[in-house]
Amino acid sequence: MSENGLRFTKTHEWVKVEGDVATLGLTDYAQHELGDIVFVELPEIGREIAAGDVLTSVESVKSVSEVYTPVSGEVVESNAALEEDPSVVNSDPLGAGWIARIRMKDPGELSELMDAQAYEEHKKG
Amino acid sequence: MSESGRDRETVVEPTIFELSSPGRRGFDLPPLDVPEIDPAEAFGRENVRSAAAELPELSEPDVVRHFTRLAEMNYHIDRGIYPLGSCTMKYNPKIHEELAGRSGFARLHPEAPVESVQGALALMYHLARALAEISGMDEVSLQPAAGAAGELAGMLITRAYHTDRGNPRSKVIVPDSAHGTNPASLTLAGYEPVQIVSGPDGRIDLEALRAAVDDETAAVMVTNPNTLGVFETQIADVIEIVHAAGGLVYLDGANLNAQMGLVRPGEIGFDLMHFNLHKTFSTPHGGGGPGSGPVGVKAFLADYLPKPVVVRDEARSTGVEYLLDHDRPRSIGRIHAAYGNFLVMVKAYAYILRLGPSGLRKVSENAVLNANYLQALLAPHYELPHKGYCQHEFVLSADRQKRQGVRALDVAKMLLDLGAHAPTVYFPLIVSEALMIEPTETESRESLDAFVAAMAAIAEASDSDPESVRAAPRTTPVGRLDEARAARELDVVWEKM
Amino acid sequence: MPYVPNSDRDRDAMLRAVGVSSVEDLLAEIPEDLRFRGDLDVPGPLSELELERHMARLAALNRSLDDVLSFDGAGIYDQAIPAAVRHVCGMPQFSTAYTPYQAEASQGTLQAIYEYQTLIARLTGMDVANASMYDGATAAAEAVLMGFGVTRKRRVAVPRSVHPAVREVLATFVAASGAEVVDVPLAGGVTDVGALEDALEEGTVALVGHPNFFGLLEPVTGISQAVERKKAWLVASVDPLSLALLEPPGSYGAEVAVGEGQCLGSPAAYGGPLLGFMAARRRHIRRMPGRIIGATADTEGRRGYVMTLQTREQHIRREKATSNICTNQGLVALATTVYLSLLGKDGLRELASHVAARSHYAADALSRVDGVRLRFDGPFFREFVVELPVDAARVQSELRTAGIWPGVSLSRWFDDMPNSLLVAVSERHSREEIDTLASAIGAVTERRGAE
Repeated sequence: MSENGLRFTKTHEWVKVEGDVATLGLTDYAQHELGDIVFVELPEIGREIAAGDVLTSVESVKSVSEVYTPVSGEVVESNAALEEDPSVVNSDPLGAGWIARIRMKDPGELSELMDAQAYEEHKKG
Repeated sequence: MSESGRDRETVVEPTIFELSSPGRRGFDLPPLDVPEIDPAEAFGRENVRSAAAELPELSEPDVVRHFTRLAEMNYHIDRGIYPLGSCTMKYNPKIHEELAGRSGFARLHPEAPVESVQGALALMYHLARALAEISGMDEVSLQPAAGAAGELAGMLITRAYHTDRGNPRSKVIVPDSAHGTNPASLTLAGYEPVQIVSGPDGRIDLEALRAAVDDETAAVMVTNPNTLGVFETQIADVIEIVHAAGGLVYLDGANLNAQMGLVRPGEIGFDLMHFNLHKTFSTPHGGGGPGSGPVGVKAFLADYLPKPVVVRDEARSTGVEYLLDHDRPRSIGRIHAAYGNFLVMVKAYAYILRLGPSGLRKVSENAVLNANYLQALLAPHYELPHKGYCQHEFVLSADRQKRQGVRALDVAKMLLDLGAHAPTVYFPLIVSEALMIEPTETESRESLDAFVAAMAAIAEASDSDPESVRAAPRTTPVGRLDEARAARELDVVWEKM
Repeated sequence: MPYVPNSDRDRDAMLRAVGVSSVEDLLAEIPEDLRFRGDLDVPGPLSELELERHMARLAALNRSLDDVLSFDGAGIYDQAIPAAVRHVCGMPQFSTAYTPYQAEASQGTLQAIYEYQTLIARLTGMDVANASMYDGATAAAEAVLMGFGVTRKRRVAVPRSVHPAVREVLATFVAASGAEVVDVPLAGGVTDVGALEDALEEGTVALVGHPNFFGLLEPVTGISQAVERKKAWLVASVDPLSLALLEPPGSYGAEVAVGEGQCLGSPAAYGGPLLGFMAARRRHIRRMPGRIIGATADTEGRRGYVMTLQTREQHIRREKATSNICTNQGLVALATTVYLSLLGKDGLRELASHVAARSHYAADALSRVDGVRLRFDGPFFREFVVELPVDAARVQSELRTAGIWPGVSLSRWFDDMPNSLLVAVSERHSREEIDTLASAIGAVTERRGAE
């Protein structure tokens, strides 16, 4: 899956928007930095969150990383497959390794995010 | 984990569950000379265990063999050097094991009347006094069972002190080079950590400290010498800044091995601290304990110490000289079921007696010399983040080796093949590819030279054959283990397939 | 100089290698006004021979369990320790080894802990266990904190029958968190289940001891139902030997089981080192404090063991760690592992049966003494409370002159029990010794009665 149509955060999350629902996950860069992911704490369905909140955390053997949400809204779905096999975040971070889906309260928040090119720049800097 | 994976595994030594064979036992009892009871009658049928606990069945020879074979797979200090920074893995004197095993110390019940345990109480009292003397603190409680417990006690004492003054305050400052137990302990005590960066020399940055201190600062937790093995030369300023704001200064005493007879923290402004008897005072590490983490305080904090407190009444007004004082209304309370790890105290006390005043100072002097010797000889082979003399430990960086694709972890693993134990790796967090080395004073010059030779060989191999370093260890009972799998496919109790 | 190998000659060569003339040069950075230039006022130095004499004199000031007939219990029990346990724990490969951070060189320690975890999980009827905590009291306190983390409430209900030391340590641990600790009254020496249920709210942690401090079995079925009805969270603090005969916490709805493991292979040791064990339901494993060892394999397919889920622990998670614990009671856990391996399934059951038989014989013998009665009616395992017709303290002091410690007086904790003794019996106590206790108490009460 290409990175077209996705938007990115400074904290290395990607967001894909369909209607008023944003799907969110970690970028390839993030999963590489973390190493083998051993556990993903799935966020509660129904939880209200604000942009910038810690959505959840992802654990590798030797570290824990926070996953932030760039958008406010309600968590409507989380990727249960990650409970069985967290390594999908490593092997397919942009596809099957998605983490959660959020029904957005304010799609205007998306304008804060970077496009693919800007994200490339950000990674270098 | 996948069953087929488990099938294909080679087992170095089976577990006791796999060695179990029905009908075997390693234990027997004298015949019962009183009437048997019927559990259902005595306890009530609904309370009786319906499915017996599946404990293994083994004979004594099998048990001894099994644990002997396990023992053979362990590196240990009696075998060779353990240069782990901030762990002070020094030789464990054998006389201590004998002393602690005597019935007169080991077979005492904590509820025994005080007049029948005057020897135990005297030992605890005099050990506490010796620790106070060594550290310059006024009063010491031996109750905390490990360093982290001592830290927690220290943070609770801090809280009690400030609460008595009207505001418990909310924050404790911790340098980014601190041991992980520091922020964990202060959090358990209800404080919020405020992390400050170290300066370029690894020392506390006074500007950062000034910016972080305010009237919500309950304390600062300091390790001195710090975890880079460097003496906090500006410690007087650190103490003044925090005291001026009404905060307390806590010393993490893990590095006391550099200070005995040379510096007394209580004399230079520290308000409270903990000790690690299983580090500085030679008690064995046991593969993870038992340790002992006494907490020491200046007089103005003594009321808050955990209770009961061992006190001495030379006048014997109640008939005995040593007592357990429970009447301590401002104490933080109990932090242990009894009085702490008493048998560990026996060993630490024996150690202090054996060495005496000048001996303790020489321990620290030799610890400092040994570390500097290693630092000087290793400097050509590894990056040295701090260029001056160190105290009892120092930090190397494997950044040079990283350029060849060999990381601190690989260096550590190759040392295992060369008959040494690795130093602490990836700590302190502020040094990249950190290798924190503390030889202690009980390593001979030859042992140190051998360690240098091993480290030099690894540096050489990193240049000429980095793959060989990354493939280490190869001579240990197992090679590098799949830690990701251990975390993903949690197998923490043995189950029959 | 003991334990420091290097001689002056060695040191001279080393100083030259470093490029300084004395150790003082290495300390030169330390500001002079911070230096201690005096002599420490500590005793010593003593040669090994002198040390032995000194320590022998101190030990002689103690009357150990070798010298007295003691029925003291209250969580610390003087059971017989098989020689093989001491032998294994005395192996320097175990006792002088460090924390197993370098797993490849520490498989002995790691596998032993894995076996320990398995034994504790099976004994308690739970899914997972950690590598140990300092003692049963701190284990209970940390289990309660764990419960707060899971339920996101800070409320704990504690019956008065829970061991006073556990209650005190719990109070210390929760003081800073602003948690609410609710006392639950008793009925007949055990938890009043109705009162417990009233005290529980959704998410309240309930901490129950089974057997309790008085040695009595608690109504765990009723307690478990109350906990379920109120959606509370049960922590059970249990006597590990009793689990050979009693239903374990896993079967009455406990989320976490904790307890004092000292009796399984360690001496009374004047109260330390002890052994806090902790076992839990699998779903709570990520919130458990303490080290956890997991099985895995190396690149060659050899089975091996590592510290796992380290991201819970202080060295990685720091202020967000599940606890601050680092060094625990490793060697004591090893003692318990060896002990349980020797006893095995049948041996532990037989030991527990013997202990129960002896304690019940003792309870019977004591209740036949004129004026002495069992304080409580309920079932008990290895210890029980007797009520004497006179002050317990006086009975104790009189019996002590005859070398008998008749049990722990409860008056220090319970104002309404000045005449009560908690009497613990182990497999060490012969019938004759129990009879001696009974007649000695009888003699005292008779004398007092005559006055």
